[in-house]
Amino acid sequence: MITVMHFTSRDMVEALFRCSKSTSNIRTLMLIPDPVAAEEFDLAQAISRPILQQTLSSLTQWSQNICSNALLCLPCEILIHILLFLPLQDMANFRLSSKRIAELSKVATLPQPFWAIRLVEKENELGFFLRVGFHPSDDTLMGKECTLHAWPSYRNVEHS
Amino acid sequence: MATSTEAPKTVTLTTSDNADIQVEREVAERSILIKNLLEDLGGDSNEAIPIPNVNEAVMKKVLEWCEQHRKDPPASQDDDSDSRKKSTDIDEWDQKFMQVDQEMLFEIILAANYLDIKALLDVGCKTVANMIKGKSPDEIRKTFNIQNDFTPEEEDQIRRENEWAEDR
Repeated sequence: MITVMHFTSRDMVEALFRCSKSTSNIRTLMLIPDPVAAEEFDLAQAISRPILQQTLSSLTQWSQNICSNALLCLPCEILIHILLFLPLQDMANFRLSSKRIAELSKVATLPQPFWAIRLVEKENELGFFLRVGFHPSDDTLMGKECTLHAWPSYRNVEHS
Repeated sequence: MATSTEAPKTVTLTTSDNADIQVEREVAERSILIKNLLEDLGGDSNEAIPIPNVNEAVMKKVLEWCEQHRKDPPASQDDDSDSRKKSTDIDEWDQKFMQVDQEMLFEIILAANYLDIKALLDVGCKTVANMIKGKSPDEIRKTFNIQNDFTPEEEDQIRRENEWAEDR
């Protein structure tokens, strides 16, 4: 999986900045600057700016620390797919193994199927139970059309 | 009079390292990507199908799995939910199939994702999940050769974030 990006120099600087913030899907990044545009934009001067130095430094760190590891180089959708099969305690330990895993498994960003599987199939891992007599269809609970309509049918065990 | 049996249709796949692999169409069509491509090409095209993201060694391994599972029911839209039925149980043949080094394991997962073979992707991800289960963060790092890139403060922060998930 090689991502090849063609950039003008200005694009390249912006892309470097974006990559430093979100490197999740890029295994190998090849930057090919446009020589014509390079004349219009002094890249060396731009890189001398502190923010870009910081960006380049974090990119270097990413490539050395993260992409030297085959597991962490997997695209984030695959890493999240792995999380689906982990009990919460194991997921918590996995989060503590690396920044990349911790970042992509923040509670706010975990996808609906991650929660759905724990509500429906993982033996009440979250401490909720289904209201008696409620039979949700897969369509409402497996992340396809997870509507508010489905959620009031859950009760927190601790507060029931 | 001898009855003529029709030879199974085959397709040729060209891998990223320019190797041509001939395989029965039924086996290759375990990959939804290849299946759709063949349908788009129509009828009996003899053109080799380029698979630019998968090398020969990995493709052969993937096709070995496809051959074994050629009679499995085709992937349906419900597979998304079916495959996630909590269990990380893997059938015996698949367990043996996945006894490869980590590099090959991740290559198979990437190939399954690219070729859109959901069942193989699940087997690969379950294998990795089983390697993580029951291990401490240190043991996980050791298993996958991960460098600890947390500062003590960052690690504390993650521990606090994890509190909701502890002891479930």
